Amino acid sequence: MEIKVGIPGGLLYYRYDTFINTFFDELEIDTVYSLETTKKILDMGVNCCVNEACLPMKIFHGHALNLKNQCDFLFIPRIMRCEKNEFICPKFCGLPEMVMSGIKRYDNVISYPIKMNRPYDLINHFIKIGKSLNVKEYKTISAFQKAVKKHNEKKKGIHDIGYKHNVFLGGHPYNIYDSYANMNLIDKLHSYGIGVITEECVDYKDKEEETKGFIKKPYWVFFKNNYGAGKYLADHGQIDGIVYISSFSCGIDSISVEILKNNVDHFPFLVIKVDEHTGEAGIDTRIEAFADMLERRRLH
Amino acid sequence: MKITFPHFGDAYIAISLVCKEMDVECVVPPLNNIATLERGTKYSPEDICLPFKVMVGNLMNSIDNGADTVAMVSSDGQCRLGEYGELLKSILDKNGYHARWILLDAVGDIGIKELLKRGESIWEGRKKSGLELLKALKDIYKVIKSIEHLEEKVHELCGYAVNPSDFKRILYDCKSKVFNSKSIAEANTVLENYHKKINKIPLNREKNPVKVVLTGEIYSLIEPFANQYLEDKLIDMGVCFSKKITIGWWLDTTITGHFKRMREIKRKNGYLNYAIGGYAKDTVEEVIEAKTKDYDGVIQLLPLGCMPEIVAKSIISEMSKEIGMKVLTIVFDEMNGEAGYMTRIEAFIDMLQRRKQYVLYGH
Repeated sequence: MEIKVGIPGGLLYYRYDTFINTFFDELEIDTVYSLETTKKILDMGVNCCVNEACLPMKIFHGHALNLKNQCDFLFIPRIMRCEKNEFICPKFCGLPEMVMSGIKRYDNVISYPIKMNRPYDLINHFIKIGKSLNVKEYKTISAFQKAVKKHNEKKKGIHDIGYKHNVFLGGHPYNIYDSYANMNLIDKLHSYGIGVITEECVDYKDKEEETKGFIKKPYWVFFKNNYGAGKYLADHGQIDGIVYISSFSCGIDSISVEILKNNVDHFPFLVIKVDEHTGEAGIDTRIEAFADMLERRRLH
Repeated sequence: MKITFPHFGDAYIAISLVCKEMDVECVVPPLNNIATLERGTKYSPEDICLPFKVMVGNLMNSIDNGADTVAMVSSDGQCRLGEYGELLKSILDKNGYHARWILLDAVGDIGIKELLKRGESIWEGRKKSGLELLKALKDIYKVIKSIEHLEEKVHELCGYAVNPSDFKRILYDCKSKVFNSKSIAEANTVLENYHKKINKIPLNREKNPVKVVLTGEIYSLIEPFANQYLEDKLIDMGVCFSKKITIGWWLDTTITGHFKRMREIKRKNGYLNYAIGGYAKDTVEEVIEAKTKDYDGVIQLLPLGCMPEIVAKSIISEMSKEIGMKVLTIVFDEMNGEAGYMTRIEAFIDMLQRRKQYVLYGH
């Protein structure tokens, strides 16, 4: 019997898509994806998710519910740690439980804890996945290595060239790259002659350098990346403004936006918050006003 | 140097006593009220959780009252608490409230040496020896435990009282007397008296009160202002309740009982097997425990947007049906709609009472 693995395309799939695709392809396992966010997916998610959660969580719930009856195994990564002393939002660590109780499917969910700061644990995690899918260990290891290699080779981030204005586009990858959730933000910015740079295009060392003056070493990877990149680009005159896309009630953004704002004094800063209401006109007006402001600053 | 700190339940009683004992000047921020919260909300980011907003108000009030050094704890956990210090400093600096910052960070993050150094800097120009400090800390730990023991007794017995508000009054009296005592030794005598007093309150053992467990996010549980004085209301309603998360419990888990805590974190419960940050796992476990200990219901408290408790809520909503436990989740934010909260709590307690009668008399 062929095993089919369902992969919901929300949250950090936007960051590790190459890795996940290559890994399962190399294992020669049938996969079924739910990638494109639509109104239907969002509505499904809103209905089965706890109502206090943020928009990307609800979208992920929608994707998972969409796959519920189409696959034998559901792959819900539980990412506990990134680099040493770096964490991500607690919701990621409890994601499998949240989704399981949300979509009411408790069996055959792949959810071993992933700790990226320990390479040994990391590979073990994937060996365990291989085992539960009846794949030989050596095959899993080679698939893992190939996936890591492809992931590292892949060009990440957006770095637009040739636009009149350049802005730093901050936010979590799942808000930046999900064009349904952010209502085509990047295209809209382009149409006003605004090019974007994302945090992946700034060197890790430069980002690290910017957080040196803090009284508390930052521990969220998203906070460090967005703050470090935004501050670095602003200080080095590579951008004319900052656009930050965040989701309503995001705990990490509530802190990183405020600290970034306080540290880049009098710099054009647009914060766009998205939630499950899809009032596109409001966002259009704000982007237009922001574009006008950039233009005026250039002229005067 | 005048030290200040944000409010955290009854911690101000203990801190000010230690400072008195050690001859360190400290400014206790005015007790939390709506004005504090409004002041904090004005300067805080919109999306941040309620405790932060209250703390901004606290520190601004204290700096107005002459404090020049802020000491607060931090964590290396996943919840926002760890970043509070950074953001508080950034916001206060921006608005012209400058102070020296001493962040008592987690050992895992900065090492024990740095922590001791920071701890020592609170105590600059000291008049007392280190030994005296250790003794004071040991004594104050006893005081904290004693206050909590008293509270626990009240929570356990208030449902049986002929007049439940007796208990509430005695608790308030006790706390204010302890806060105003001149030394830790005096505080201990005061507490002993109150332990005796509490045993004399008339009880009616015939009663069969509703018993609930309070659980959820730590600040909402410990700081009465953050939960709209829920405990007082439960006492008035004659509901017995228990609450695991207190300042003493926090001290036990973070400092003295570190290894025991590690074991607790590793223990699997079948619903949420991993510590995901904050106290989400404890919340889930307390609901399970409430069932085994025969409580009637659980009230989960959280501030709006609290990341770990949202996960807990999501799990509990299905789990409670499975194990047959009634759970009420209350989310607090800066809107002080007291009546709304009260209606929900009263309705929940009424429901539990009816269930209890129904089961008892077999209708």
